[in-house]
Amino acid sequence: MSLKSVSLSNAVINQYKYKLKAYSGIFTSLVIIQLLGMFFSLNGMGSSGYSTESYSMNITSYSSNLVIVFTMVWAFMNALLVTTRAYREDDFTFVTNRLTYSLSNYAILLTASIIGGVTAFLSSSLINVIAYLTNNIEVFVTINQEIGFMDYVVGVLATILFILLCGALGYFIGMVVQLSKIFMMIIPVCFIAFSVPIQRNGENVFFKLFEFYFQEHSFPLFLLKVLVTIFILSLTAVMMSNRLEVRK
Amino acid sequence: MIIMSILPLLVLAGIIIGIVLLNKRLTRKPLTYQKSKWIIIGYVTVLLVAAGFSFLLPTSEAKLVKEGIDEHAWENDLYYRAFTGDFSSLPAETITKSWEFPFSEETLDLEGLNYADAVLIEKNSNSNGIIEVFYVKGNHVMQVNTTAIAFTDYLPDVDVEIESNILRIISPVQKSEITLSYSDPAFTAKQFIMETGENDNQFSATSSRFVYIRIPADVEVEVSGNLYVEYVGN
Repeated sequence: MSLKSVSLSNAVINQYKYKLKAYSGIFTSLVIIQLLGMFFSLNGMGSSGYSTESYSMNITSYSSNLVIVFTMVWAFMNALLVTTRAYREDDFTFVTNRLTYSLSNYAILLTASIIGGVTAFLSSSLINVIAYLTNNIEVFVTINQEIGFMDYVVGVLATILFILLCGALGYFIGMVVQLSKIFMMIIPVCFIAFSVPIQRNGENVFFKLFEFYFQEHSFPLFLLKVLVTIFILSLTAVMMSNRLEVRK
Repeated sequence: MIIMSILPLLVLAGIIIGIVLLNKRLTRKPLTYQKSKWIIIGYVTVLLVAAGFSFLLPTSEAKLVKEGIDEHAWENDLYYRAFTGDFSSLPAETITKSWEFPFSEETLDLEGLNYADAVLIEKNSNSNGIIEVFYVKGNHVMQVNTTAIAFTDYLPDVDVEIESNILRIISPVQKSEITLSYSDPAFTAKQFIMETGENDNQFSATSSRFVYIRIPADVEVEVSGNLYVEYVGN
């Protein structure tokens, strides 16, 4: 029996520091994924053209939407990977239990989401600059006259929350699969079932979920929806991690 | 068709597999923490420099069109009003340029240099010894995604000169190519500041663009080349 007792917070912080170094590869892959997203964004997210005998006119819009979507997929996949046996057994290097294991993983997810969210949001400037230098653009018309500083802050926060939501979902699915391999079959079946239209107008479960999060125009309500979802996913994942078999 | 509809899913699946493989590779042959740290710092620095540099890009405040546009009502509206003898009813802002030349010849020879739009001629019994030329340019709007932008200001202007009895309408180049861009806020920001999902189809709506010439009633007009000329009231 050890005479030195380790508090929960100390154990979590130590594991977080260790994982931040051990999982530094996920941040390198973030850079690659975002550069890929930027590359695909350089053709523009929308374009409209008009031509007469005397002039031709073309307007193209550029945005960081694709980079953000790629970052969301990145967060989902990495959260899924963190739950795999190989990553899980790394934790036995430390004084740990299932709770500290999960909490330190969530701290890593939060850090990754903040870095991913801020860089994804900032990527729009780099897309604009590269597009200007490579696409022979005469002038950038600004349409953001009515967008204030606080709107940008809300935009960054929403980006971080979307990425964190995807991370939490990936972690939850990863935990479900670790609990029983049968879910490897059930989850893709659910994915297909959710894609089937449930209404005559072709709307499916994914569409309803999309509406629930992506068409919420009030930020406080959006914040509430996302935080509650993340809390439920995390709590369930932590409870499931307690049911995982011990290391043999 | 089916392949095209699932193409985005396939691309996304490819990216996911790519991430997994990349991540496994990085785990097996990991970059050192220090190297990863410097890659991230370097990347963030590039993004911040680009954010600063983007303020130096040539920008122009877009004239956004928020009200609905009736494309059919617009089309040739100004031209039609001028053609039916109601030139004075045209809004002042649509007459972007005007010229006035003293003229004492019996015949006016009309020439177009790179000019491909219409010319409307009004014979006016009050115009004694004077030719008035007006360049009329109505609204031109184009929509990309959910944003409708008026691009009238970017259209090339014309110049008019007179030499003896020859009046030349000159366009700067044979065909202008105007390429504009705008930075659309990310959907994560747009969701809270703009209406989304409505009127999400692309369209362009153009109004008339023509040269209106008022000449003394007794002057005869001869047209050279391929100019499209009509007379008011005919």
